[in-house]
Amino acid sequence: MSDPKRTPFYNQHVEAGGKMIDFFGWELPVQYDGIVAEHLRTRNAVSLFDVSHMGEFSIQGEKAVENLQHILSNDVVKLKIGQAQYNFLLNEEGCFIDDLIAYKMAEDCYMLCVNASNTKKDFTWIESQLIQPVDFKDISGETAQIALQGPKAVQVMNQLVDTDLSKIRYYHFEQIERKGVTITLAKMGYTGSPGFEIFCPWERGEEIWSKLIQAGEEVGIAPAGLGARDTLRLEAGFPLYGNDLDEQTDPLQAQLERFVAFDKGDFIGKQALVEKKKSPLEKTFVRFILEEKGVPRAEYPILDLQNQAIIGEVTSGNHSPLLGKGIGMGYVKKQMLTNPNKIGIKIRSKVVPAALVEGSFLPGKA
Amino acid sequence: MHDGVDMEVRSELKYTEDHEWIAIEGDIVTLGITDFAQNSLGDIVYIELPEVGTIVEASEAVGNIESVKAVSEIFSPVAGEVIEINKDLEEEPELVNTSPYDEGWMIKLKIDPAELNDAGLLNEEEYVKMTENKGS
Repeated sequence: MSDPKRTPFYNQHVEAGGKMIDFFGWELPVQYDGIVAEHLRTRNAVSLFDVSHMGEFSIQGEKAVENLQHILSNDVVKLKIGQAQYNFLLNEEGCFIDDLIAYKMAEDCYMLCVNASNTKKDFTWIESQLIQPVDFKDISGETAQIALQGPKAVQVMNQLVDTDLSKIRYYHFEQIERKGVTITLAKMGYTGSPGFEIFCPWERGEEIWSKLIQAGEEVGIAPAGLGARDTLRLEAGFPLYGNDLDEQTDPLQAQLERFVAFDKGDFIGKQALVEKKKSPLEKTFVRFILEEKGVPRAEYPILDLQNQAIIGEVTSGNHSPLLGKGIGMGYVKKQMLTNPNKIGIKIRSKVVPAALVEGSFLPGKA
Repeated sequence: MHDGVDMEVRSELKYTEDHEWIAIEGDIVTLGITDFAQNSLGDIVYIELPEVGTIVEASEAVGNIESVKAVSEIFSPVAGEVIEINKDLEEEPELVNTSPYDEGWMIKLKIDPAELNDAGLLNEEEYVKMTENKGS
């Protein structure tokens, strides 16, 4: 087993007191001063996350769009330069190989950002499905990524760039040149709080991280680790591949049909999904909030409250620092649900009642 | 940030391999988790303690600690009767993080002191050595 890889910010993590762990072959901080503290700081001020472990691929050439339309679920043709789009890589059964973001960098030039845990798998899969000629590369090793998230993110970024940041719309990005370095500044994130995802060349990462820490000092910026990243995305209601999405689950079950463009031409998984649409779902993704004390966790059974029948399983769960309650997501066989608004979560010997919620757990968000 | 070297331990207490501490006063013992344990667990959000009057067995799980990272069981190294639990932990579970040996105490048990000899308890030195070796 080889040593875990390090991102450009390894030294900075250690200096800041980061508790380093092996995350899918990467040495990353799970926390610094505490998951709850880092979580709340992100919601109230601003945090910095090292997300350089994520995979990035570039796909270029005249056949780039044709290839993307073939392997991705969403309609890539809709993308304009400077726009990003949530997408799925589906297999022939219409099930998730990965979820990812596609970016249109220039004409016939796209970037895909994939989960760190799936980088090798995705690359091998896409390579095997390519319609040549097309230029497809793994640029993960040259691309560092930082997430700047929180209500003060724009304020911090404004100190470092001349661009009018209010011009960058959600799920859009700008490529900014600073001292001969191109950085991609995307207005989006995985926390549910406003902010940016910043792509830069690997060797300039350390410098950019320092500049962001400096610029954010007056608003109390601090780095946040993988632990907070997970509790934040959970509160935002975002699924995580490996927990909520996997190769035994499809977008219909995951309630993510809106990211599948059934009206575009043929794509991998389309036929299987068209067939599946004809029958009721075997399982349906739900989000819930506990009505009593407890922490729901992955693999805990979900029961029908009336008859105590096991109707599903939790796939993601934790304590919500903002709500002060246990929240989670999972799959249930909806046909077996007696009360459409409530379920029971089996936490050791107790069945804790939980209310079903739609979308995000965050107040004021869809 | 703790790095294992400056974890607090107290010489007057005894310790278990599961990172609990016990204070012995005749036939009453007080139980909690160590500084090392609270640091490993991270932010604690709930503590499930047994009801007063519960009879516990040695090495039996008597409660649970829910932290943002994971759920962990609390073990009693010795058999006894639960005579008191720390009610403050209901509203302020974070006391276990901030004050694991004082305000974060968990359970008081009435025991048979003779059973302590077989309980596999460690003294301060032995416990520190164990944490340095295991690092868990």
